Amino acid sequence: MFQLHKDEKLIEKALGGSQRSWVSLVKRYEGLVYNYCLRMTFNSSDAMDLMQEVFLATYRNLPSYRGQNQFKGWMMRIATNKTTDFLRARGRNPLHRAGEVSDDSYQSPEIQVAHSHHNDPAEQYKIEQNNLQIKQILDRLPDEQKLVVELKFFQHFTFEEIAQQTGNSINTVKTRLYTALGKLKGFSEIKNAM
Amino acid sequence: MLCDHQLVVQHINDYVDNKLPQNMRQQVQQAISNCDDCQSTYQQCLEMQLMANAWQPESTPEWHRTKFAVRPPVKQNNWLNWGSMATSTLAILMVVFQLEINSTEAGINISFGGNQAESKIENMVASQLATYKAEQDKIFQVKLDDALEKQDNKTKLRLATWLEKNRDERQQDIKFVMTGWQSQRYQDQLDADKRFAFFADNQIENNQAINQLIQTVKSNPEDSKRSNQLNNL
Repeated sequence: MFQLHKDEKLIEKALGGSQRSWVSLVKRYEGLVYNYCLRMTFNSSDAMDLMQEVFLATYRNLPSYRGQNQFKGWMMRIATNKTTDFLRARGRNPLHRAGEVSDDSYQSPEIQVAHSHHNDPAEQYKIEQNNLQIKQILDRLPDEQKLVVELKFFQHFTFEEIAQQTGNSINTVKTRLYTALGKLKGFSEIKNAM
Repeated sequence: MLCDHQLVVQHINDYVDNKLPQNMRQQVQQAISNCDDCQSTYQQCLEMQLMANAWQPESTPEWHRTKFAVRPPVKQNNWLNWGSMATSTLAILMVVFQLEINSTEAGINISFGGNQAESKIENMVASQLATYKAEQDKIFQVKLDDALEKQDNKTKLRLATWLEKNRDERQQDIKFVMTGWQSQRYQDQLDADKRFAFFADNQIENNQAINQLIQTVKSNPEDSKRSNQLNNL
């Protein structure tokens, strides 16, 4: 409740032109959105682009946020829409899979700086490998199934919320999730990732 | 034994999250225990959950959080603020000092303190009072005429009534007087007749006395002369 109230305050101030409030709000949710984008795009560069698009759209739609739902849910709905558009556009791009051989083989200097914040390089490597395996597993799923898995298992939304965010019926969402689970059967990587 | 895979599909996540009611939970548990496919789905769901928990959040690279998002606050021109303030001040001063601008045939009069307004108000009041007075006089005159006419009519009516009544009374009085007079006259006539009768009676008696006296005289020569004298008388 306190968190929600604080979000409301920050939103109100951001709408009034306060950059500091907006930055505070972004910092609160950027980790969540970035990791979400990372899992969905399988690529840090795309994840950054998508995250920026999400926050840009969030800011532009901020006046229409009525505070009836939690800000996180409202923002993640925008993120879902943006992700769907992004993945669809990327799917049409024939060069999209060209850089798939080695994910994150190239990292911009900022990303490298950010990642270097971890003190232990071995630990950092371990985390990256762990996450890479998870991303590889998820990347085997079609985009719409990946989205449902992401929203259910990583974002912990209810089926009703996922249905609302994706614009599908609850049964469709459940079927997609079940199909996704079926497709992941036998992937030893899952166990290895644990 | 046939297995209801759909039941597991529908509720496997709630089962894993331990959110199912007891009877439903038992049904799903039974399906998982008896069906390899459902068992596999359950395992997959658990593994997926573990995988999600195994995700290590990666830190967000530095980025420009306000670029393209927050518009810089619009700077208003200072002259607008000063202009607004000056206009407001001027308006307040005009109110405080009761500035008046009056356009007349002679030109434009500008005055402070509200004198113009007072004289104007006085003139208006005087004019209005004169109008009221004229109207009032007119109303008074009309009412007076009405009252006079009414009074006149009343007077005439009263006079006519009085005359009528007076005439009757006079007539009655005259009749009464006449009756009284006639009665008195009749009484007087009766008295006169009575007196004449009495007088006549007396005269007869006198004549008889005289005759007797004459006879007496005649019988007496000396007295016959006197008797002649008396007869001559």
